Amino acid sequence: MFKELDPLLHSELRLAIISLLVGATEAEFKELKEKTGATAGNLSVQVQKLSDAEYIQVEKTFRGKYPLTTCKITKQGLKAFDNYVEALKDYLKPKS
Amino acid sequence: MEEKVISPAESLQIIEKMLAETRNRFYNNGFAFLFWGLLIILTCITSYSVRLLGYAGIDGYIWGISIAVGIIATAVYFMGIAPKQRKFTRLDSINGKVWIAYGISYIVLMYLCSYYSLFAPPFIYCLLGLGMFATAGIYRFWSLYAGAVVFWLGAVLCTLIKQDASQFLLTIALMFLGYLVPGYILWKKAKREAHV
Repeated sequence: MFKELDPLLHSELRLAIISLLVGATEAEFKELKEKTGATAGNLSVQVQKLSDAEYIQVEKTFRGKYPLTTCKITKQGLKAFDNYVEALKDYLKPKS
Repeated sequence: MEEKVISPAESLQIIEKMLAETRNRFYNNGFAFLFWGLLIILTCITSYSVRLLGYAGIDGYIWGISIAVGIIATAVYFMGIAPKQRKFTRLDSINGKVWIAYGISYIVLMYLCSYYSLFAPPFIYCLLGLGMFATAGIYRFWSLYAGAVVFWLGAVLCTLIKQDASQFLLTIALMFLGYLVPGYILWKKAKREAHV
């Protein structure tokens, strides 16, 4: 029986966000938008969902006069990602 | 990239693509290589000068104090100063462990060389080559691979020259070519990519 894929991560944009943050540990909103190609509005919504689940931490500061939003992956987020990848392996195993 | 149903194969593609985006990010500004390269060169010059003045006996103290100062300064930088200035990734963390392992191996090596009365530098260069190669593999940065080769060649060269002041010159040359040059190239790249 296959393990269920975390529905929060099994989404194109949210998975892209988490994968980027796994590699980079933290990234600015602007970079997430550039790398994922998402609209600002949709990215905000998905970032909020991940933040509500405590998979990522969102920090709002200022760089000079301009607001700066930085997203950082949490331990919970890393664990969720690892579990997702483990579950994914079962789906991708060649059928014998 | 909008919300849509994705297959497991597509999930894997997304993960691979996004991880690849971050693989080339450099958060390592080469500080450790620049600092240690300069420190060892200065220590060599000091040790050589002290020998010329006829105080060869305090050589061990000079090196001991220099290495201790280096370790403390490195710890202060990476635990106190650097986290406020730049981001650290998991790759940085893995790289840190490589050099902690080097430090512990260095201490054990010093004891072994002292116990067996062995000339330590070639073994130190071998260890440095290993450390540089591992770091090069982590960051996939060519100048660090070159640094590793420099140290390995240096270890062999040690056996071809006399165990006198020539060894200091060799150490200075190795620190310059194996540490300072790769560290400088790494620092320039990191500055260019504004990750420091």
